Amino acid sequence: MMGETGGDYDDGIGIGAEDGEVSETAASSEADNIEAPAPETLTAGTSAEGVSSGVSAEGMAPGGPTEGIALGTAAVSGRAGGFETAGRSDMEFSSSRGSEISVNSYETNHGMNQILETPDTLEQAQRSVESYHQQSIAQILAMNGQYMSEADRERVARGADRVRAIEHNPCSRKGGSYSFWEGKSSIEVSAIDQQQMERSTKHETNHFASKNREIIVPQPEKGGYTVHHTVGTRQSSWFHSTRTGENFDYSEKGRGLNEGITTMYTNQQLAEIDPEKGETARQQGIYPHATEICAQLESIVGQDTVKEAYYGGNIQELEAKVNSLAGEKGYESLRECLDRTLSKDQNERVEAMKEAQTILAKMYEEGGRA
Amino acid sequence: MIEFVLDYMEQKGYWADAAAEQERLEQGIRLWLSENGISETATGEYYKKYVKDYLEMIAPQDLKSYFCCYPVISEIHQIAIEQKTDGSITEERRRRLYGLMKELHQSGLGEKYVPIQEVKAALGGFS
Repeated sequence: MMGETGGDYDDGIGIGAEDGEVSETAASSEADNIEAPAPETLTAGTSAEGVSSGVSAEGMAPGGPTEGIALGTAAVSGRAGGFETAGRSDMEFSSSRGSEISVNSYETNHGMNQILETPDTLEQAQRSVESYHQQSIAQILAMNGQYMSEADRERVARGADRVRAIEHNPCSRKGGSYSFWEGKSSIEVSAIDQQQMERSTKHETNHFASKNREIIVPQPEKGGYTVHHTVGTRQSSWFHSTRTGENFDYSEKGRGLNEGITTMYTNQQLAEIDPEKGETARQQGIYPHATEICAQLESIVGQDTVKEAYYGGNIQELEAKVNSLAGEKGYESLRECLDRTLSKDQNERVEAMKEAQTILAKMYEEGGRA
Repeated sequence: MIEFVLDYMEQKGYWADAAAEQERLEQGIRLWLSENGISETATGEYYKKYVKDYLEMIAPQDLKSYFCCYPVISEIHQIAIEQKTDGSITEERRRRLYGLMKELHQSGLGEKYVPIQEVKAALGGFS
């Protein structure tokens, strides 16, 4: 089941349970009011309507495994909806409006530095997150709009379909999350403190601004359809049974590379605003080695190649360039190493780093010095 | 490569003041190189570039403390990754993290080189 196999990722992404939470929101469905067209949602072999009705009839858990959100095991009645448009002032909060955030600075007593600039209410956090999201969009478009298609530039300019500040759960791994599902994008950021909200919102906004693509391949003979899903350089796929509402055969690749590139660009964009912010974010990254590997990769193959892959979806060119310097299947090996650099097992991370360094050293020696 | 790091530090005006400190520095550098997937005997230009680029992320005045405390920083990262992967850590790990953070604060590095978001998430419920 995907809920079991799908990895978490990003700034801590919930699995399964989040789907249920979103689906409750979706129950009141504002789907009919959504004006934004779906970003590159392709249906192969049949009409989109046909697939949609199948989903609707059987129930589809929303919040696909994009950016680490694996589908939960519970199927949800009714179609996912209820997404709102970024920039609107009446965005939903994850809990009731005006409720206070439960984590206050006095409740956090680690070390000697306990100053958490936690916003007093979710409304304040929501305003901050919306503001950071809009600021990030403007910055990303200015810096990287040239790598996007016109349709994607328009999609990014409109903002994510839903942007929410959510109450921070100290026991949760979530700092922020991004999901892209059925053509709708959703960003959630935990209301921790301003610095973290800014970083997390920028990070998730980069996921949103990177290439987002869904391809649905109907397989009526198997009683369902296969979804091929891309966000940035991360590619995943799974089979959804319309009979049972369950998802099977989940696979993904490129999560480590995607996370490293996203963190690298987030840090660069923070540095554009304030060099100290960028430096601090870089120093406090959870996977600094993997991020540095991506920075070295960019310095070898060139910024344009990496940005065209990440924002423009031209992964083939990046793959070809890596292979031309590292040898056949060099890209595949590097991507697989970077996936393992996110492992919880320290030995596995070290081994993955060794292998990645060997590949990059070879590329560098082959003359790949952009 | 250990010499390369020590030379970099010296160029920035920082070096060990005593043999014991030198030993701690080398121990920290050794672990840091290992976690970055770089052999101590590596000599290639790419490795030098990687190391130099990474070292530039560390404030020169922190270099000595950073490497002397690197085993602590490394363990904090490990616990933070466990927190991020599993969503929670055991009380024993939380207490360990608390002690490690205390050590880093005492060294003067504070939370500068650790994934503070995950550390806060892990320690937020500590009591």
